[in-house]
Order: sequence, then C-alpha cells, then structure tokens
Amino acid sequence: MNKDIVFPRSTFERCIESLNQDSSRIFLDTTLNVGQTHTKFLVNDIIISSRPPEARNGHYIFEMSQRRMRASKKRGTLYLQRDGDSYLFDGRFTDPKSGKVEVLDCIKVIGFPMMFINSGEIDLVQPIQREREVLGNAATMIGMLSCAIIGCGKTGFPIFKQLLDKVKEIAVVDYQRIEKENLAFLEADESFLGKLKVEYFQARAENLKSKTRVVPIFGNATNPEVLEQLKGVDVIFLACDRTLPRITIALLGQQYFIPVIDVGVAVSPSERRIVMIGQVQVFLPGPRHGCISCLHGFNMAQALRESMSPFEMQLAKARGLGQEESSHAIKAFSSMVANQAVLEFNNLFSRFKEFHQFVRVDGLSENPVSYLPNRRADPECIVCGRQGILGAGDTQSLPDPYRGGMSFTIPEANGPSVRRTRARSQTQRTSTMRMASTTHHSSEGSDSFVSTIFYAFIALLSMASLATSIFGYSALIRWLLDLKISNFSLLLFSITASIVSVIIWLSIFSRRDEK
Amino acid sequence: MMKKKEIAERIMIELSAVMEALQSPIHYPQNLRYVLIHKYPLPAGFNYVYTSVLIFLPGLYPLLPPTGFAIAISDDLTKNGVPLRSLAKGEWLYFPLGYEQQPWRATYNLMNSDNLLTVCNRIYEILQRFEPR
Repeated sequence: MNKDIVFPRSTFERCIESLNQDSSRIFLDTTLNVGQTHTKFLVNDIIISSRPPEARNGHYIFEMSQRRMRASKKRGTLYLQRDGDSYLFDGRFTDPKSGKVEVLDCIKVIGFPMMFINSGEIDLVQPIQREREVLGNAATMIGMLSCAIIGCGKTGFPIFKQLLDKVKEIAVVDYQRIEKENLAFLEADESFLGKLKVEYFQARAENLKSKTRVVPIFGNATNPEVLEQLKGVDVIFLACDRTLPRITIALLGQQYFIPVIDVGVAVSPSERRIVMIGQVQVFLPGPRHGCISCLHGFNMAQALRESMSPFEMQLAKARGLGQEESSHAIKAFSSMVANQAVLEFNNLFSRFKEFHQFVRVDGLSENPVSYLPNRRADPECIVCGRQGILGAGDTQSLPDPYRGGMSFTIPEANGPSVRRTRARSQTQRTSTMRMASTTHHSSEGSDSFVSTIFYAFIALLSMASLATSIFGYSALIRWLLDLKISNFSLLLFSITASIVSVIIWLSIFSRRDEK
Repeated sequence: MMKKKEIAERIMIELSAVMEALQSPIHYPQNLRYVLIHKYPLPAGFNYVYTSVLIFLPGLYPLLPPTGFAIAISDDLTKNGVPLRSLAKGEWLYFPLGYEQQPWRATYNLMNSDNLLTVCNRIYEILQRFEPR
C-alpha cells in the first residue's frame, strides 16, 4: 500500500520558504484519503502558529520541521531537509483505524515540474537506457508512476503502447467490447472480437511479458465504483470520445490532486477540405493552473447533449434536435496526437521545454504542432477557486454527472393561462422588463418602439377627448350661472384639468402594477 | 465543482430569486434535475399571458448550464397566430439552450455569475424570437 503526502507546487514552495525562516512552528492541514491500495494526505493549507491547530472532520494535521520529531496520536510529523539538489525526508503518522504509527513512502509535488521525494527503496520499472540519458531523474520518477488511461480506443491504445514498460502500473478503463472496426486501431486479431477492450489491453501486456502491471477496469468513467479505483493513481490520460466522462475525470483530478492529460481528435470529412485537428490539454491541479471549467476546456454543446435525461431527449427529438454526431478517425493522425500527449507527460517530469496547457495538432499543416498561450485561472472559479473542490479528497462526494439518476416524473403543469388582450399585454411587458433589469441580460424587442408610439397616440386621444368634455361642461355651467369667463380661460382650464387627471390616473395604475 | 453543501445552498438562493422575480410558485425534485415554474410570463406574440416552464438542469449544474427548457402548451396556444400543438410532444414544447452567443460563466460570487435568473431571461429572449413554421 502506498502512503503518500501530496502538495500542490505553490504550497510546497511556501513550506520550503517557511522552513528556511525557521521562525515558528509549521503545520500542514491535509485531507486524509484511504483507498484499497493507498493512503494519501492532500495538503490543503499551511498554518504557521505557536500552537497546533485542531483537525477538522476528515482532515489530518502534520507538523513540518527540519528536525526529526516523534509522531503523536493526534498529528503526524514531516521532517524535510535539503541535501544539495535533493531532499531527505521522514514522515510519520498514526493510522486513524489501527492506531499504529506508519511511515510515509513519498512526498509528491504536483505542478510543473512534478517532483517525487522518496523516503527509501522504491519499486519501479527500470527506464530504458537511452531515455534515461535524456530524461535523467525524470525517467526514474516515471518508472514509479501509476497511470490511468480512460478510453481504450484510437488514442488510448497508442498512449498505452508508449507507457508500457515505462511506468509501474497502468489502469485501463473502458465499457466497450471489441467490434470489427476496432481491430485495425487496436492491432488485434479476430480472436479478440467480442472481448472486453480492457481485457485485450491486459492480454497484450502479458503476451509482451511487460514489466508494467495492467489493471483492467470495466465500466463507464462516470461510474462511482470506477472513480473510486482511480483515486490513487498519479496521472490520468483522457482518451475517450464522450465529454461528460472527460469533465468528471478532470473534476476528480482537482479533488485528489491528480494531473490530467486530455487528448482529443476531431476528423471530419468534407467535400471542400478534410478537417484533422487534435488537441492535448494538461490540467494540473493547483490554484495557479486553472481547471477544465475556468479554462473552458471542453465542448459545451456535446456536454449538454450527454447530460440530457431520457425525457428531455424525447422532447428534443420531437423537434428534430439532440442527434449525435458520428465520429471519424484516421489511425496515423490519432497516434500522432497520442504521441504528443506522451511527450507533454514526459515534459511534466523532465522539464525539457516550457509548460503549455494547450497543444494543438493540425494534421494538414506544414507545422502541425502549435502551442497556445496558457490561460489564466479564474480566482472565482467554482471548481478550483476558494470554495471549490481543490484537494477536498474524501471530505466531498465523488463528482456525479448524473446526480440522483436520470429518470424522474414531471408533475402536472398548469397549461397556458389568461388570454391576452392589448391592455393585458401592456401590463405583462412592464413586469417582465422589471425582472430583466435585475439581471445581466436585458431584453428589448424590436416591436417595442411601435407599441410605444401606439400607446402614446391612444393617451393623446384620451387626453383630447377628456379636455373637450371638460370644456363642454364648463361652458354649460357658465351659461347656467351666467358667469363672465372668456372662452380662452375655459380652454386653458380644460386642458390643465385633463393633464392633471391623466397624471393621477397613470400614477394609480403604475402603483397597482407594482403591487 | 463547488462543495456539495455549497451547491445546494446556491441553488436554493437562485430558486428564491426566480420565485421573487416571477411571482410564481416553483416545483423541483430532490435531485434538482429540473425546475418547474408554474406561471412564466410569455412575451408578446403568444395569445396567452402565462404558461408553465420546465427548465432541465444537468447533474453538474452550475458547472454546466441548463440543457434546455420546455413550455406547457394547450390546443389553442399560438405564437403570431400559428398553433404550436404540432411541434410539441405531449403537453410540452421543447427549446434547446445554446451558449455560443452568450457563453455560460459560473462563479461562486452569484452577483457576477450566470444563474437561474439569467436563464429565465434567456428563455424570455428565445420565446420572443421564436417563429413557428
């Protein structure tokens, strides 16, 4: 069982600074995550204080020092000392279940570059000599990794081939069986027809007598049981066609501090020009790098289509919507993009070039690989921001794109009510506009100008008829009482009275409308 | 994604804002996969003033925006004089929500974030532009 403590790079750098200052006691607030194959502490925060903080529910406190200490029942200890270019460390914690003092195997620093600090002997796959000469220590780090590949298809298979005999363990996840059209992409013979793709991957590794252990996981990557088995891996490659599993796994990466490398290929035949575009996205957990949400790293339309419930899909189909787009592929191009993803993976550990979150591969260009500028993380992001799930580990439930299931019963709804008349439609428009003004997007229809002119005309007409009738009645009173008032004065009085009446009438109606 | 408790609290705030703005009763299931607004004001062009609107929420709301909405129809509901019955499935007429023109931006500060109230406005705009054929 692996017992690791995982730091985001920025937190680790702050720890080193604080250790060098040696002013006060340094405590690490971590979330404790226990799985079948791992115990993982995810460092959420550093607390510099003279007194140890209280651990919250699901959290565990470590005290960090440059001197060796004894682990107490309440909190663990982490001794870290710089030794030239490397570090010496000794970490101990009390297992909350057994009450025994355990030793940490590894400090994992997630970021660019990735850094693994081991406490002693480690079990790893020996790197290929020629690669070790180039990658240096990074090749050793890669040799001790446990990776996962989501999707055993046209991009998953070339990634698998590249990682075989380089990493210690590969978990392969897929829910499909091999069909005839998969044989060429998977380089499989017909005896594998109908077999699970994940089993074929395992069989292939066994046939090659690979040193890498292959763990087949049959199921959908959105399934909680599958996600549970991925919590302990070090790096995840996303090579599936669907968007919802991509988002789910990217969220899992943020929650458990797992770097996620997302590989996407789009090939579409066209009469004018074939489109052949690939993209590699590297999502590093941590406040600096952003996440799939704030970096807009997914296809929104496809994610929405996959999120539809069966009931909604029925309604959409009735209107000719919600059709799935067919996916095309060219084997050589898929392999090209997959290989680029493995290069980015190597770079995470060896730092042979700058870090790029987004790599675009254009299969038809003279310079097929281009690096897009890194985007800034959104500090208000609901995933990686302050209130997000970054490093929350087991204190939060696993991401669930099908929250509470997909089927539900819709209660009886009121159908349309209140038939529209001209006067009613005027009232309704006013109230809806008020709602719009409280939010970002106001709505102003093109017919609003015409209707304003219409209502202004009606108001003027009413005012004129009111003034005429007041004038008539006033003239009658003048004749009956034999008063000496000029016609001009009567006219002035009628107009003023009608204007005042209209103002009073309007104010009464607008108050009624507000209520 | 925000923490589970914070998401539930946020959705409750959004629902009360919608109820207050529309002055309408609202119904939603425990898993919050839809919101049913019983009295939604229809824009000019419809021959009725109100109808019920069903907003479909994805499991990853608010990271993902509502997928679409449907309005409750009757045999005599029309838009610009055109009956809508033939376009509907049962009692509901469906509309997708697109985010190409106005991208969805969800942040934990509700004041700067898209939310159910901004969705209600998008719905109003869609219904205003809708021309049945």
